[in-house]
Amino acid sequence: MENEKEKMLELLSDKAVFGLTDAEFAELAKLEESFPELSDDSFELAAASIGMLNLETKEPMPAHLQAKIAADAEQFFASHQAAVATSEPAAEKEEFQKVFAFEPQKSIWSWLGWAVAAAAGLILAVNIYTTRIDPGNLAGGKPTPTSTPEIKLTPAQEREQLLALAKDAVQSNWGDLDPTKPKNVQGDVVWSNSAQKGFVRFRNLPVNDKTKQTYQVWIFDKNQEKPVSGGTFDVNENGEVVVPIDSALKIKEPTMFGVTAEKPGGVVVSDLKNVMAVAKVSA
Amino acid sequence: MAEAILHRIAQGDKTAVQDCLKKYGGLVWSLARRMSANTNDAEDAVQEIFIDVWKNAGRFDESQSSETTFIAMIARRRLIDRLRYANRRIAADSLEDIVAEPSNRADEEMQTNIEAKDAARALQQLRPEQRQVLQLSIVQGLSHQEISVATGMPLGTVKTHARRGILQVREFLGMSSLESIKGGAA
Repeated sequence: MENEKEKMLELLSDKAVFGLTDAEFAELAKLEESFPELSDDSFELAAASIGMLNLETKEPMPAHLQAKIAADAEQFFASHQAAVATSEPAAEKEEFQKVFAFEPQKSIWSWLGWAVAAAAGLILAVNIYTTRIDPGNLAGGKPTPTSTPEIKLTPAQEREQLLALAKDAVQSNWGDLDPTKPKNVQGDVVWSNSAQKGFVRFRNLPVNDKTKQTYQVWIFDKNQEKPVSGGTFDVNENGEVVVPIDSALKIKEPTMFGVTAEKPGGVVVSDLKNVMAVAKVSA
Repeated sequence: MAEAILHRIAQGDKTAVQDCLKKYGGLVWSLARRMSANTNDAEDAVQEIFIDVWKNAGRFDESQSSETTFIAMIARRRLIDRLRYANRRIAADSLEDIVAEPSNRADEEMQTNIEAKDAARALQQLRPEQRQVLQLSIVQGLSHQEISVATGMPLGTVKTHARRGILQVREFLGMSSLESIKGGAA
């Protein structure tokens, strides 16, 4: 038995340090059945601690990956809840069977017990009937379904999610309307016509004085005479900005997106005098 | 003290997912990058790891380890599994450089990570060859055969150093709960 325990110890340490082969996994599983008290995570936890040595953690996880994981989590929790919900009736059934699966008793005491229980049930039924309350008069009598809190994604994560999930999502980089007067705005636009949803992403878009001007997104639709407003936004700090597009109309065939500097609050029709960047979309 | 993120996840609190990603996303990503052949593999691995985290959140025992170490363990378990199945190894550009790397190097990252600092202290308690084997296997991702080739140690010796070393680290870190067989493999 000591040899088996030693073998299990060796396998636990090998698992933590090197990983096991299928045969070794099977052997460990067998030993764990024999010595469940010896099975724990301590070797792997120790290895995990060593694994954090010299770990370069400066590089953040990519935003699109984070969005995917958040979406996976949504699915996982939804399926987990569904699994719990569907397993409940089975559990109740099992409990029911456990309580009522009995061998018939011939003792007079058991019959007496059932007679007392039946009488008590009858009294209870009469009592419930005579003291019943109309459910309609009860405030909040019906159970209120509680909603599960939604995971709030950042615009950057939503953008990545749209890119990952929308088959018709198009992406186009910003460029200058007039190359002789470059504004060097970088970034891109992502748009899905089926979802009627999109995001603009900018780098090098100057911080704006909100009291004097705002930025406004424009969508050029083949079916519209004039560009459609995609919403306004402000840039409060340097760095990357991701803003959801808030289209005023349904977009049918977008050909180009643009961003302009306008008066605070935005405009209905732009004179397109202060175009910061444009992005053409291939049909 | 704030409730552990993993406990909240185990209770079905979906808002804890973002907290978990924010707090441990970098750690998991870094581990995956270190132990994966390329970025695509790392991304796939990270997705699988977090599913494992959601599944195993209820098993987290704060009396046994920190949340960071527990998540690192889940990550490591999955990454080893992937390496094993894909029969891939991280590219060791220069095995000699790895072997020659100072075994007790304390860099910036280590200073900011209490678990890593504890692990570094634990490694200091080991014999140099035990420390070397554990670093090559756990930190650099080399197999026992590769360590044997790199160091010239017989395969059995590599395994013995690894087993004795991890046993001592585990006890130094207070993770040992197997009192009945303590030292059994020594």
